[in-house]
Amino acid sequence: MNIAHRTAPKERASSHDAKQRQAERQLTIPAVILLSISVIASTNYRAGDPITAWAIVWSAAYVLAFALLMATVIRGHARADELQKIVQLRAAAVSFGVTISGLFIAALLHSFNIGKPSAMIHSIFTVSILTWLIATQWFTRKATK
Amino acid sequence: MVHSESNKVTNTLPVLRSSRKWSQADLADKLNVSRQTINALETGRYDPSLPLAFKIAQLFGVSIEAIFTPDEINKRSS
Repeated sequence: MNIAHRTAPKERASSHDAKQRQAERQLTIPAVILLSISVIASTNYRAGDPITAWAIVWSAAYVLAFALLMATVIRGHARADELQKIVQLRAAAVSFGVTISGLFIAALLHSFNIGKPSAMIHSIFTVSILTWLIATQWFTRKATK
Repeated sequence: MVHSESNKVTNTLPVLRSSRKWSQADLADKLNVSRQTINALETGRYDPSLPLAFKIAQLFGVSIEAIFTPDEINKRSS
């Protein structure tokens, strides 16, 4: 029996993990709050409506939320250890492939006047983000279990 | 490197860690890596970079070869 492989059922995270989670929370929480406000505010806006000060504010909130989320990703990558960096880069590569494929398909459909470009861009964006999140989880599980 | 089946490396990391009564989290703290990385190293799913391998060897006061051995060499000597 290999005693060495047994660990406590819920072993505590290392301080490296704790620091990384704290860094992510610092940016992710405000980003999610801003994004939620923007999404709620955008439900009142219809294309063609006059641009009001409020519309400018929630549009800026969208951009700021996205910038904060990107800053989280970049900071997370900078603080990641070597295995985490490999996992992140693999997930980014998969997500990039999905994005490029989506854009190619969208361009093809658009050339035949099929579908709405704005809807296609939203779909590609959503699928890419989901792919990235799922790929990160999958590669992490593959590397550690 | 996340290893392929053709390039396996065996390691004595779990034994060395247990001899010092360290948890995986303790070892991760000392090496400034995540606990996930220590787990992956011990289960053989990940081979460390050279700097990390040197750091591990220095921490335990042994040579790298005493900790990490390619499976080919293990098979030849058995």
